[in-house]
Amino acid sequence: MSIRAARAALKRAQSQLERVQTAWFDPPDPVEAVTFAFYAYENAVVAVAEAKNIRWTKRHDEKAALAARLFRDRILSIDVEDRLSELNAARKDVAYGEPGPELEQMDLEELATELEQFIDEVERMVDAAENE
Amino acid sequence: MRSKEWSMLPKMSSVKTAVTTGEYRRFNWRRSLALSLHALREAGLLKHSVVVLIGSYARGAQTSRSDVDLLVLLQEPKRPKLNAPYGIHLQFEDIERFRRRLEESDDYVIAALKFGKSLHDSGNLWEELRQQLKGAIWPDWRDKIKQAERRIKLADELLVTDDIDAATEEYLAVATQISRAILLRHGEYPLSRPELSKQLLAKGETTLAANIEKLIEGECDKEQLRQIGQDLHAALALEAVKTR
Repeated sequence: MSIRAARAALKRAQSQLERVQTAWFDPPDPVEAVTFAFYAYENAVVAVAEAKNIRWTKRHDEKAALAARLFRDRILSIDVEDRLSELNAARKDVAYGEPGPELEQMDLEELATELEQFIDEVERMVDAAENE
Repeated sequence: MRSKEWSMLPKMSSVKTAVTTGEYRRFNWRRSLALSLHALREAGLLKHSVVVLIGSYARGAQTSRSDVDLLVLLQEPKRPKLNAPYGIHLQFEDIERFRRRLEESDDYVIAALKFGKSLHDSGNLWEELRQQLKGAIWPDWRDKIKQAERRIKLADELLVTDDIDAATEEYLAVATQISRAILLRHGEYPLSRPELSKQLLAKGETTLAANIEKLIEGECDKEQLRQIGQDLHAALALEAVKTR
């Protein structure tokens, strides 16, 4: 666990955010948008864990639980646990053929905006941890 | 536990489950299953529903890395939010959508009906669906190729972002879809993921079988993933020719 690892995870999240930002409009690519958004959120959560020396595992359900914990412990102001679960279900649906109820109800522009805000917050948090 | 087919489950009280930190913990999957059913009951989700054990655990073919997959068929199309116990993967599906997918010969639905073990059925729905299975046509293996072609692009792009874990997961999904296509084309039904490599070896698909094993192991570095990606592109190109 280190700031270096936090920076690497944050960089992955930012690079995946760029894919989401181009995937949501004209023509929208919901498969790419939800897949990259899911991994970007996960990498952002990992970045926080690394910066705060919190143990994490590769399991998707445990990363979602970690996101809830970071919010409960007031490390982050946004709780993305539900977002992670929703995106995980959506990406699996589209990968195996048809959009499920999660994706049909999802606003991709809003998804990209919220993800950007979340990653910005994580970046500020990592910066602050580095300066401590 | 009220369970019609409980006694038919593989006789194995616990398995060693590797967690990603390299530690090991005893994972009593029957207990986790019981806790899941309890949580579903507490959430009022067992009134008009079917709960089925699917995947490798249903076939007794699980490995130390397998999740217990539970399919929960509900009347409502909206998926409830419910935290599953450790090691349990809950998949919610509404009954109408599941029925429609069966009519379209979706291989996931057919596999669930063929190999799944019903743990709870508030009516007689699971048996009715299994009866419908007899009239189902063989899944179209070409669909798997189309899905794999789409997904391999995502895997390639994830590798570019240096997300090794995500790329591993997506390449595994691609390899699984290509494997299913090959087996379906040969008239053989694809089994659970840990069993696929054995099925592929019997068909002479040694490279794909080896790559599935490596991806399930989940320890590949970027260079190894790049090589696996190339192998998968080659396998996909070969299969795509056969779809024409």
